[in-house]
Amino acid sequence: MSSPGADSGRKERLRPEALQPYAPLLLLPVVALLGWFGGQPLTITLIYGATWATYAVGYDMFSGFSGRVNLGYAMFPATAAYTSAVLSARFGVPPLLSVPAGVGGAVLLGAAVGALTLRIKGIYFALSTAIVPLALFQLTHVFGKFFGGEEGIWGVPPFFSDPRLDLLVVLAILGAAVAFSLWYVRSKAGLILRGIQGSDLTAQALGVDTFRFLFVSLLCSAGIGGAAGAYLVHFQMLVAPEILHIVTTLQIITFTQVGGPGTIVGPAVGSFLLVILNEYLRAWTDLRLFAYFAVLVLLLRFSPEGLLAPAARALARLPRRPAAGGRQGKAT
Amino acid sequence: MQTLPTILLFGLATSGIYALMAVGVALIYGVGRIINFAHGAFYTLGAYLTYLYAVRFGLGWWAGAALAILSVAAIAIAFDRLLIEPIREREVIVWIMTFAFAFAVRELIVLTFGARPYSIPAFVPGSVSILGQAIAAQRLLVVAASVLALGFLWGFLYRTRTGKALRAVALNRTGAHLVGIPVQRAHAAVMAISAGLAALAGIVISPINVVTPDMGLEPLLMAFTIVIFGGIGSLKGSLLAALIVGYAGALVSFLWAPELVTFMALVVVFSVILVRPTGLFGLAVERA
Amino acid sequence: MGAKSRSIRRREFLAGCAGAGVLAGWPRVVRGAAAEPVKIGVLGPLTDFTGRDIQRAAEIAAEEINGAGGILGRPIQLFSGDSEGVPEKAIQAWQQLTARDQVHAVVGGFRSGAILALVPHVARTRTPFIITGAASPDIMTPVKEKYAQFKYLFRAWVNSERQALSLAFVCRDILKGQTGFMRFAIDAENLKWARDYAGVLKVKLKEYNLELVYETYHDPATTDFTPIFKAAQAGKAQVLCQVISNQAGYVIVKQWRDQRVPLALVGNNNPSYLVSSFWKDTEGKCKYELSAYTKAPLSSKSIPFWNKFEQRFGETPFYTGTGAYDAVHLIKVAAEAAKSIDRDALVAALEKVNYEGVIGRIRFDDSHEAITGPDAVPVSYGQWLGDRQKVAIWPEKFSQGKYQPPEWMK
Repeated sequence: MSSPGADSGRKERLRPEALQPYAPLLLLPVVALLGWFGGQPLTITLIYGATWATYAVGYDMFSGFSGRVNLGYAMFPATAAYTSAVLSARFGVPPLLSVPAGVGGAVLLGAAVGALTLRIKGIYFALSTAIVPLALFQLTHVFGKFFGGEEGIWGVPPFFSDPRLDLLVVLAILGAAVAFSLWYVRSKAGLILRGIQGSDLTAQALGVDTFRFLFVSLLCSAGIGGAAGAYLVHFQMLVAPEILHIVTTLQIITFTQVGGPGTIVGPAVGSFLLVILNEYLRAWTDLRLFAYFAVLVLLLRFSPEGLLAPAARALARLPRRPAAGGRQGKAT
Repeated sequence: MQTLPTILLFGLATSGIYALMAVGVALIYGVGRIINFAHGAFYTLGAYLTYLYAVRFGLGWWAGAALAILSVAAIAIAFDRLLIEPIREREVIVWIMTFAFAFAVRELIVLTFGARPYSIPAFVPGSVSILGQAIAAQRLLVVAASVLALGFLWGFLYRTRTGKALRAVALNRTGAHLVGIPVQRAHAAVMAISAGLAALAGIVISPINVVTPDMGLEPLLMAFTIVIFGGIGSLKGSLLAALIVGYAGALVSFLWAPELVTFMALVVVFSVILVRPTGLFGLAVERA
Repeated sequence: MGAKSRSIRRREFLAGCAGAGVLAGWPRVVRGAAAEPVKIGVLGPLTDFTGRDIQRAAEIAAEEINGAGGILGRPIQLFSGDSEGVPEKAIQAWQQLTARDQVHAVVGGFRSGAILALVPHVARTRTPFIITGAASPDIMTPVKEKYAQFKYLFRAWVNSERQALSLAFVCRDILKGQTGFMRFAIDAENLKWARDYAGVLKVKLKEYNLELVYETYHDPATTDFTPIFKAAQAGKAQVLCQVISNQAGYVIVKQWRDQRVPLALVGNNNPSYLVSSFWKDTEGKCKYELSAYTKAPLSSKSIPFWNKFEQRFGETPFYTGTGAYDAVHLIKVAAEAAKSIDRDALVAALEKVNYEGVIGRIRFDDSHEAITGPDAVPVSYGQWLGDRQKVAIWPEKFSQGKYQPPEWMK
């Protein structure tokens, strides 16, 4: 069995083996069919599932590989969402333009945050990134007239009136995100990221500009989250500041954890499963949320490796994670 | 300035609550080595359990409050032993666990009590006039409770053997273990103490406002702000930072706009992390 | 290769699990046109007092109607959607009620921000929605502008504009006219309905020559009103008009009394509507507060409903409840007039309805806002003078006493 290191060195001819990690993408048409014919409640649930899955992929491709936990990841989908909402709802920009603009906004934010925080080590990186969405939350209230304050911005123009079409779009976004991330982490850049996670010092001693690699990776991570975030706004026809709560990022980290960090596909599948679980539990309206968090607590307690990790890792043909030392700020 | 006495008095009460919360967070990190996102849940539980014991079980407010603090401490110990201890080394998972626990608690509260607001009457009724400002006697109780609780904590940590043992664990866990200090019990003890402080904070401040399921979010945020500002792991730092942040907040509130307080606090923390991550009195981060 | 086939099997296994989970757990929605009950959705922050009473009142109405044969011979079945008063959850609750539960109509709603976010979704699903608790005028403007899409919206409650008008009367006639207060301050929570309310109030105060010296919008989660009291006092205000819909209503009253703030506290304070519990919950600190409430004999049905509700649930109904009770009855009246439960028929029938409800005589204007008739007033103002004693002060024809300024202001 060839290791990823051997693959990334030479020019990739499209041998079947090289495509195997991308095989999970074949699940997407299955999901699309399920959503198309399964009735509207299912379609809507799958839209949310795919959106969270994209967030998780964006989160994992940076934090899962570099070991730097981005506790403020929600800032990326949120910035893209607000940008697109403001442009389309307040300035009449067509959604086809405002969504890419939103992605651009998220990437710009990623650049700013990256420039400021990527040189900080360990737990302080996590804390400093955690603060950004909290500060943005305050800004939506302080400049309430513009950003809608507590109640957000409603009346955002939708793309389609049929949710099934929205589902196709979000699945396409997810597919692109997964394909890109799988390629990225198997490329030289990804290898270096994993080296950084193993030991910062070693990487630097070998002459690697760790900052540059982390920075680019963070920008990609931001763009992925931004794409899904900006699109969702046009499905819900609303953006609300709740998205900036630490809960959002912690949910994403949870989905990633359940799916298996550092596997790209695991977090995506984990997101779908947990979103569907959440919806299934709605049947017991009262107990739903409590049951959801209780299940979560149990999962974390008894399966900290991540439920799907072994499967997901095998799928993506990624090696085992470096020894989980559980040190400051390192994702395990 | 007519508002100066008001700022002085009200800022003190605010700082007191912040101190109770922040010191708890600092202790849990210093000794227990974990970031506890569930701290707000202890604050909230203190208030709800007081209501439950006092009204539904008919124990009266003072007894209810005392029992509530003990209950929260017990819950914290169980939380530490059953849920945290087995995964203590896996930092990120612990973060998620504490957050999941906090939300499970919140949902349990909504299930039991509903989302409607509850009122707790003042433990010390009436108002007092100080420097021309009428102030609820309860607010003075907040100050007194904070000072007393923190005073006891200090006495405990610096004058008793158990306290010394806890400080030893904070300084060097492996060393403490070698000398025979039961490290696991130290973690649980510190969790209980911190949770008790948080519960106390939630209880004494509730008569001045109102009990709702999300009441713990803002104190949690301010607690983390203060702990980072003061230096993670430094109790002295937390205390000092609580005073500074409490009064800075009061100044911004009264002289400018209350909505800006949280934003200001966040900007401060962010700057502190960028420039001097160890905060005011922070110790070096990497230790055994 | 061995590894390859193992991973393919794993993949199929996972996909199978996901699929099985989805299919097994999915509530069976496919039932066909023989669906017997008339399904009505109840939407609101159901575990908070503001939304809970929507549910309770709807239950009373449904029981009454079912006891008398149902709607067109079919029983009413209620479905709940918890909006938690926030836009995102409201949308999800709406999607549940319409896509999964497939209700014929929805009643309730609370918090203008949440309802405004729902408006495009209402147009999309074309489900009649009788709103009973959100007051922003903006909610109903699309009805006239884009009738075909938005005709499904109706409001059986008073919008914030009309609420503000009534408070302006109180300021003019009671606070200035009777008591001689000249300078006013406004403290509104920073939510859409309250901003709309404050806007109208400002205009009216100016029109009546009442001086406005201070105005502020506080964060709904505010737990300390001291800075606001201080600022209003600095402007030499004598009256503070509060516009509050959430738990801050308890906080402001307690702190007002604790600090002996020399301002007359008046306005809209939602918790203060709870006549049976507010005094106890504030330890009597609400004494002298003058604010809106809905226990007034607006129609022959008002007091009987009030009593029935209190007997059954031990507390007086919040205004969202009285509206919801009428809304469910309205659906029956409209369906029977149209002889159909079809959505467009319902809409047409509702437009022509003329019904004596608990909140007064209900007819809808061409914006689908409830006109409550020249004699019936939607809100009245009462002053707290004792436990369960909210003494009616305005409108003057219902008044039970004279307004008393707080004793510490003398």
